[in-house]
Amino acid sequence: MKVALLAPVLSARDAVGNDVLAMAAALREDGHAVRLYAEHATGLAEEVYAPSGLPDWLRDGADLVIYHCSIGWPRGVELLTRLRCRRVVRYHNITPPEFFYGISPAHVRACAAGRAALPQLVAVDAERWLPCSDFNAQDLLALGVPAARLDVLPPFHRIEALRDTPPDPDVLDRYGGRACTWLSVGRLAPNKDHATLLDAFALYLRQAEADARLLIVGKHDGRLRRYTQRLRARIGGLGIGAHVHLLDDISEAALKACYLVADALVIPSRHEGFCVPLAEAMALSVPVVARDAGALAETLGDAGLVWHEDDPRLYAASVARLRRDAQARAALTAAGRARYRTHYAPEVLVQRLLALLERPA
Amino acid sequence: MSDPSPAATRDALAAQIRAEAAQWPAADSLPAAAAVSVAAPASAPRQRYGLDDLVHVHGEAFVERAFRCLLKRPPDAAALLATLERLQRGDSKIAILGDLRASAEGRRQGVRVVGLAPRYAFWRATQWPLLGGLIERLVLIAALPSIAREQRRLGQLLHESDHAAAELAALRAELAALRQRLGVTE
Repeated sequence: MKVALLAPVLSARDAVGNDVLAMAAALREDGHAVRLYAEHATGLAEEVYAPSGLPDWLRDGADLVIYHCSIGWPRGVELLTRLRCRRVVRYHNITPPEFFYGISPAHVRACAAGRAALPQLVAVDAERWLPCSDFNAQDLLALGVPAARLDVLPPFHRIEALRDTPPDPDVLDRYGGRACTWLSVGRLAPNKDHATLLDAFALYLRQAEADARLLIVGKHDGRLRRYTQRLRARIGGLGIGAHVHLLDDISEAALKACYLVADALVIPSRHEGFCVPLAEAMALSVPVVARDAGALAETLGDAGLVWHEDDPRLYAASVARLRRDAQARAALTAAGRARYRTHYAPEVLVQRLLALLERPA
Repeated sequence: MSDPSPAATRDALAAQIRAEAAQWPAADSLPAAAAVSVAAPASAPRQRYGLDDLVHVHGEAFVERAFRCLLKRPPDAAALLATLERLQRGDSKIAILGDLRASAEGRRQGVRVVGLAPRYAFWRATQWPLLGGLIERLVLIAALPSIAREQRRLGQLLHESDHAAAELAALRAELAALRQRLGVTE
């Protein structure tokens, strides 16, 4: 079977890009002819085709296109409408524009356009929808996608590669040792609610361990400069600048080292369609403290602590408890490893994807 | 007896941590914690505004402010795009504010915008077939002197902005030349 994986933008180092690339590898391994189609691509070793050529490649009704939706892309929807092959939509979720008000008009407009275009995508009448989480599935159900066509499939990822990557020794040297290390992973964007993270960490410094450090790992988007500036100002206002390390666009080896030195991954994000860092932490035996928002609680299952309140004290007290209670830490990390094995390991995802695509619509 | 399930273990742990957290000082005890707001602003709690509070911002900022002040919530994606489209078509801000205030949701919120009602009523009158167009033209003719003054003011601002942009470009070029001379790369 010919399979085209279609997305507006493909990048080798983000969640959507990782999902597309690993999905392509799994389908090739299963004997399918796979091509990637995107308007823009960065950092990819393999060939990416222009979407305009897609109708010429997928001529047979048995061919398949899997469209990865994470932003609005009217041209992609129009293209899907014209194709006569089997159509599947992979839904990664679109961040609600509200988060970007007062920070980036470009993001407000792009997210609003993406969300407003979802009804047109639903009208394409795809044979199957593959949301990354039940939280994403609820978006689609609300738009009228029949439940019988919805199958939750967690995202493919590079966690096995991360596990195999030797950690960056410089990062281990710099951040290793006895001091408590908080870790937060995710791009610097307003839906991540770094304010709660910073407040919780400041409380921890004051009440628990004065030499603790917080590593905030994530890409800094120039268009969200106003948010980054406000974060820095808040760090200054709290007087915790010497303890907070903003690590922008780091290598896989450095990320691995960050997980190895971390006492906990703390994610108080307010909107996530899945949150791959949680699965990374589970695989690498780092306990997780997260907010019960978006898909976070669902992704984590019983393998971490989730709080639905905004109170930063809950996050700070959670890390304090995990630092001193080895049994609690061991119970959570064991549950995390088990959940990773049963829900997010590559072989689990591959098996599920192939079964879903073989099942008649 | 079998071991408790991971869910039971996690829930018991969470309950203990919740009790421990209650002993910690609240976040408002942090220095300057509330001084720098990182997230988007919350909806404004006021129930009374002047038009000047609302009409001097543009684009997304205007739409957001209008919704937060009049409906006490941010606009959803569809409403945001539809309202931006109205602005791009040249619809007046008064019309948009009036429509929001007159909507069922706006009436429920009951926010007062001083000066909006007569101007919105006038805008509605301009929408009447035939007569509306005539009313609008008559009022525009009466307002021509102030419109001309505003146009001259905008022309002056545009000139100043062009001048500033040219100065900035010249400075950038100078800086690039200096970097090149010193062999400094960005």
